[in-house]
Amino acid sequence: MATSVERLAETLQDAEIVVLKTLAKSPHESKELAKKTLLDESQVSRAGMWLQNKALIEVRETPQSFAVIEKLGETYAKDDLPERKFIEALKKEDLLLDKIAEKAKLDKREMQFAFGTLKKKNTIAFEHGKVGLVDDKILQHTTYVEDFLKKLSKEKEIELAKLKPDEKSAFEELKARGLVSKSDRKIREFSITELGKQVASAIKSESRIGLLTPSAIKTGSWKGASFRRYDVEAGVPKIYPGKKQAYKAFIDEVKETLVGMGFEEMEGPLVEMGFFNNDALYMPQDHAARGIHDLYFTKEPKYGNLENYKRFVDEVKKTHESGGKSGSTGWQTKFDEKESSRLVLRSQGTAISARMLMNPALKNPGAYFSVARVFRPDKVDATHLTEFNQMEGIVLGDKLNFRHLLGLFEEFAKKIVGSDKIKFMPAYFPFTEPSVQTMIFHPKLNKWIEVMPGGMFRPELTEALGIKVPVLAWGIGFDRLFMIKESIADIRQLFSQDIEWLREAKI
Amino acid sequence: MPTFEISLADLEKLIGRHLPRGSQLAELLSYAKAEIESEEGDIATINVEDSNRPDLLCVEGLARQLRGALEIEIGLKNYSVHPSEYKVIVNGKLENIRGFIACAVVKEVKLSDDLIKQLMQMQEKLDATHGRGRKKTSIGLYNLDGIKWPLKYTLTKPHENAFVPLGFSDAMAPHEILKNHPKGQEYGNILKNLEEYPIFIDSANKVLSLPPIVNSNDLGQINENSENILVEVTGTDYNAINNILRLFVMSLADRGGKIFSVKIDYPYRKTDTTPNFDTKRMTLHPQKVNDCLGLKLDAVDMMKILKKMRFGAGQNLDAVSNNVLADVPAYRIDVMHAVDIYEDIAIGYGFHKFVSEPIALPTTGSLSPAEKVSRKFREICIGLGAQEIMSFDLTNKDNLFKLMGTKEEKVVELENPMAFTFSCLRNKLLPSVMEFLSKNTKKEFPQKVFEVGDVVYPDSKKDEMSVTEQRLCFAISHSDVTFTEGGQCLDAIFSNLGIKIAVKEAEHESFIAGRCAAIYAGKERIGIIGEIHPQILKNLGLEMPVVAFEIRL
Repeated sequence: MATSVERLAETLQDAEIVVLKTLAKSPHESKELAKKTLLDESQVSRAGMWLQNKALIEVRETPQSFAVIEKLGETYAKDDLPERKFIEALKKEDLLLDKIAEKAKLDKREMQFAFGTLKKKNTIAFEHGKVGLVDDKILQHTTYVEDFLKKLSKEKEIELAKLKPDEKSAFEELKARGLVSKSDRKIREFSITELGKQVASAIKSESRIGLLTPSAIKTGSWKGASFRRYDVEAGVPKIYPGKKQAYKAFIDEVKETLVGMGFEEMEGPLVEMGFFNNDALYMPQDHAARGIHDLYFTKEPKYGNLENYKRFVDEVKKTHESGGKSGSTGWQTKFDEKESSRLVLRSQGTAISARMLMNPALKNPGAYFSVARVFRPDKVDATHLTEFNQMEGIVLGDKLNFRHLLGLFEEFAKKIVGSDKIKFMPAYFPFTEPSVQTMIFHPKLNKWIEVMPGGMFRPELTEALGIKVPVLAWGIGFDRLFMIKESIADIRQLFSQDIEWLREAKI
Repeated sequence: MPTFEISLADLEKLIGRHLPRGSQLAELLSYAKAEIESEEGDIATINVEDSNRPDLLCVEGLARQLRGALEIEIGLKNYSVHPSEYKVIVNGKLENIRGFIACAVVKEVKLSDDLIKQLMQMQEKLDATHGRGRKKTSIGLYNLDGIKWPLKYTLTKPHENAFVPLGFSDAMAPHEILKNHPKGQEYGNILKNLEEYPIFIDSANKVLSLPPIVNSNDLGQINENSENILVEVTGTDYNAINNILRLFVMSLADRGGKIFSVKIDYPYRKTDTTPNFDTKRMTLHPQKVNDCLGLKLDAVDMMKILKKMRFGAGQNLDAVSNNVLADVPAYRIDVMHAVDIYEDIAIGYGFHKFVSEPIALPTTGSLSPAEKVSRKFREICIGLGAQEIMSFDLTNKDNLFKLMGTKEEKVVELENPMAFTFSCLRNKLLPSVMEFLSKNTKKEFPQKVFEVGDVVYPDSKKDEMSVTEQRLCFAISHSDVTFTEGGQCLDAIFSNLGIKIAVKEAEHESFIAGRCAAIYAGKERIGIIGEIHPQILKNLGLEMPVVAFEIRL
């Protein structure tokens, strides 16, 4: 077994090796390091980071200022400064100003500047409208300003602290002319650590295989060579698989459970008529839950078409008004058929059950379910949504009774919620009698909570729709069930718009 | 469900027995479909799980039910009504305005501050729930001493019959009350369109109240010194007002009050005498009860339970049948059918004693056709590495059209939205998916997401004037995304389903021209694919390109 220093040495990548070996000789700033190692700066920076993470090197950052050349400065460095062009034009003869401009190809601003500077330095004389050189020697030497500009153009940047005094004043002059400027940045100084030195000397010189290439396999070039050791314990960058939305996954599971129990899935439209949403369920037309605070109404059109359901509407009307065939007194209030065709957004999944009972394909015995999106006017906050999901269902059959409903709830509790601590409480729902609320003991909250309400459809409901057998029915607030199961406190989470939450959710 | 406050000591006094606390009390209260929502010292907030049992919405009602459950007092509770000469004369024009009134006089009531609070609470609850915010019924209580009989339930012009309303010191005309009195502002809309308002006055023309708005500060005020009380209920539903009156009178009688009847003289229906406590007899077939509940009770058991639940119960001794006759107390307005009594038998038997019966369903389960299709699409999308999302069906026109750069289309809008954010149903999925992406600009890329969900669009040929349709929207967003990548995903989905599709260049404002195509299955156009236009990305604050497609499933 290799020692830890040797193992570390073996995991190093080529760039890391070069950088570490170079730093073993002397510390370097990143640019110098790039030059010495023949790597580009980004490679150096990456290798440096890896080495630093392994504590093989130290990186110190210090702020530094540099002289850098501007675009115009770059042009002049290549093409001479205006004052140089000016005096070059006077090499042979004294000239009028506009002649100089023409010969030296200087624009008005450049002319003014060159003339002013040269005059100030007493390099030129101005007599009888013509300009002439005071001393021809000037043509044989470059100035320190020109020298500095050329040097900077070649080196791109020079650290300010390293400037000689005449370079310093050249920099100031050129800076004032906007041809150069000062640039501040952090210099990263790399130096090797004690551990780094040990590892550097433990690096074996033979060539090692990094990426195993198809050609290496084909040619067998890997034989005899050693493989670079990877740091297999280092973390890897995260990727995300495609997957189901967490809440949808739960709905899928429950649907499978129900299908397994023998339930057929049923469906219905999101925009419903009051008839299916309320009337057929024997909810009186003046019921509090049919007002604008509990039901969304459509703006336009307001009414649907009940023609195809006339037979049922007539019976439902009779039942509401006087009990119809059901043997009930009915609500004894007037039934308005127009109100029945009022379009609303489905507010309870039971609307779908009502449709099923009117469906010619209804089977007896039959077992049906639906996971239904329903809508109710509510301000959206941590405990309320304005649309949510209900798990709705019915079972019909000759010999069914109340205890079968309780048995069904017991099975749901076990299979869906995973709980066998349940109890039943009396309850009231307008369309069932007897009604029951199923409570489940929540171990984390340490209390009983209401989860599964249901009952047996009232004869007023079934008789009006021509159903002659008992119908067990329930409508479960599904969102809450999921929240309980997953300990979710904010109901908005179910429709999460946070991709991170969805990606992190456990399957 | 309605909640109200009671004093537990008061409840114990009315029941006449010390009650257990904790889970035992909870079990006892379940006989009255009640539970304690919160408790602070002696004061408990009660929640009754039955909006159709207004008789349970007061401490007296709970006590009445629980005395039965504890078998302290069983069977029907009798309330005797003493005849009297009290009379109310109704104006014929009220028939179609607020046509019904029921009254009772209760004497020798010992009112305490607490009891008055209880009565006010009960009045408020009944007005709000069964009274539908006083529209259907509203209650008034008056100090009997000082009233000159007979009374008149009649109409007044809005600016006549000024009186001092409850809690005020100056007289106000009815129209001023509607404008300036807090109750007038709260309930005024019930009278809004009327030329004349209902008014309740005595024979000295002193105003008792302006139903259903407010009582007078003079006759319509009761306090600890009021021993004799007039209770009045007006409304638009005969059965409802009589029942509300009954409930109120029962509570006062349970406190020791003596009930006297009031004659109501209608020009448009026969003279009435209120209150009445007439019971209704219903016949129960023991076999049917057992068939429904899955129990094996005999007639004797049933009668015992019925009495415990405060029904009268007996059998017709001459008859051969084993039928049970149940006398339903007048206040049990929820009893419309024998099944309503079955439930009382179940409660009286004890829900905790029921043994559940497993069902072995003889049926074969199956997913709906739409769900089966949805699952296939979803499975391939997940295989393509996309994260499934779920968004709301409700949205708004800005999200659907303005932000997506498209012309407004007809959608199903809500008449009563709670907020603009949720004011119509979406007619496409793409805006929901784009909104999702816009909420995740700072999260890791690439982002590949999809949603299978419903959209709704108007269609006057359908019964519901609209169609609910299942769709899929798939979107990819990262710095190098191209039309090709979207096309590959689309192709992968349909080739795995064995469905041939074709794409044909198309124009759509949400996509870049020349990078958008309509998707066809045969001749039918089933969707659209394209690179989202940078202006749309900008509208949504997105800085990464997006390729997306939406298809009908």
